[in-house]
Amino acid sequence: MEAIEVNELSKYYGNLKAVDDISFSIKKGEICGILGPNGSGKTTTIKCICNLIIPDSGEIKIFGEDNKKSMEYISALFEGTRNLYWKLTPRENLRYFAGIRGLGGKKVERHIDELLDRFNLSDKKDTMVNNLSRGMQQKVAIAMTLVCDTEIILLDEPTLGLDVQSHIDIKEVLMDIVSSMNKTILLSTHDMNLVQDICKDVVILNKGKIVAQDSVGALMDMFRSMTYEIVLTESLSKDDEKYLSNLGYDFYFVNNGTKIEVDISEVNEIYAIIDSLREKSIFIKEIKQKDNNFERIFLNITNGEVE
Amino acid sequence: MKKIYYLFKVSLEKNVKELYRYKFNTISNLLIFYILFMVMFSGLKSFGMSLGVSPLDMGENLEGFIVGYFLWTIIMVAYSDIAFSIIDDASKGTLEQLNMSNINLSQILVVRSISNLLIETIFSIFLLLIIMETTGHWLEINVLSILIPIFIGVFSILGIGLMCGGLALIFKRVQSLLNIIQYFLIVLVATFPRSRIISGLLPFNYAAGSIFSTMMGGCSFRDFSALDYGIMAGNSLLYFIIGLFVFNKCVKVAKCRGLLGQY
Repeated sequence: MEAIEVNELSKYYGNLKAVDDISFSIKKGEICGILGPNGSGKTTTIKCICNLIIPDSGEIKIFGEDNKKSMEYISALFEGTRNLYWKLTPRENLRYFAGIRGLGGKKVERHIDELLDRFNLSDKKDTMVNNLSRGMQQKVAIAMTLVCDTEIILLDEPTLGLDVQSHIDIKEVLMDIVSSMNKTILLSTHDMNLVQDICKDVVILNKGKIVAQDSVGALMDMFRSMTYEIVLTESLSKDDEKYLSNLGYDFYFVNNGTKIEVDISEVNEIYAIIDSLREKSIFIKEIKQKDNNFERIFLNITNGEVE
Repeated sequence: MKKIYYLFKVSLEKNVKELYRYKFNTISNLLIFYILFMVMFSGLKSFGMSLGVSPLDMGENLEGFIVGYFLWTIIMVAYSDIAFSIIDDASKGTLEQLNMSNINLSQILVVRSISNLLIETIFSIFLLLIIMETTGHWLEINVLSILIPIFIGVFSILGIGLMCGGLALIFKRVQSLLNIIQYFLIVLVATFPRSRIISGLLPFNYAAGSIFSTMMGGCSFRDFSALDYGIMAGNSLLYFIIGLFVFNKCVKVAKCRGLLGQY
């Protein structure tokens, strides 16, 4: 069953086309990543699903019903906002956000205790949110999306601005939700490792349009065996980089020019590249086929337009 | 109804907790209202004496002044709370969450305002008692006779609050408009036209007049006629419905322009 259906959605801000005729759907219980460079329309799409933005055209259905009448199925966490009341404790925040949806009583209190326990927040339950670390605040915000026990959760950049440890903690929290809570999740993020680890499907947007839409596995397969890593004996000069860039291959110069990564469509193209390097007396120390990661696939699809 | 009960409960809890946690602000607010009142009260008393009227003769005017001040503080909260809470939630990044509830945003804001109003009424009564103790000017107050007209009439002010709240959703910074409206509200609780029709058409004016008559004229809420209650309720309902209509239109505009949650 489709939990979320977005059909021919478009949204303009004046002359700016934020979302341009996009359609996708997410099945119940699945986790889908919505990716794209800044300004590609991810947040607008999420806010349209949440009925916080009215689209110019198109329709959004939640379990087959118009989204405006189905808000009881959705909760969300938004990027760049605090989502919480800082002068309240985690427990008070969760109780408050349940209350504004008309929920309360012993069942909700028990659920709050379970969530605080699950996210290792029990010992901080009576500490005001502004005294918690950024990672803990984000955990409370994610718990807030779960307190109403909605079927669908929309997460807009849940790991943005977190330090390494908090990032790992939030990733574990998300993996826990995915593995044991049977929620339908739409996740917007720039963190491709997170996408690779927890998403089943992805929708990639660029300039308001969908440029790819498939399972993470299928996209990885599509780009497999095409990235080669060439380690050089010394750094490339600017002239060499210019020369290679004009060869018509997708070169990525890393490690200060001591390493080249190249995406090719035919395996034998690597010999032509080696010949070109020999021609310019660029010496190779090591050459190997690189395990593809989702970040490179994303960059390929969006033509490296990630800000 | 259960949903509204839980909403009211958590709103009240949040208000009380925040009053305690922002205690400097809470205490200074009380002090400012008290000091402001005492300055105005002393001014009025001296004015009476300078006119050669004994403070005893000024009694009715002073009572009127106390009642007016009490009403004005309550009305100030009723009309500005919705707009200020929208501005506050937009800046805190929680406005989106309120919008995602299955309870309508206007309902959430009105219930939150009523809970805030309840706390402010308790504070105002407390302040009134301190004022009466300090001035030695004890009013005979029949609490029910004040609270019933306030409860019936306050929805007209909440209606105005919803209109201001709607504008706050779109424009965010509406403080100067709110400042102007508070002077208009002083007129509503201090001037009572002789014509029932005009008084009945002005927001809260008829209810304010009834409160004055109970507090100063010695009558109780039982002395009001059905027509009096009808005018108070009709006036309240009219402004509340207009407020709801304007607010819902503003929500739609804000959603179309993608302004919800922006600050």
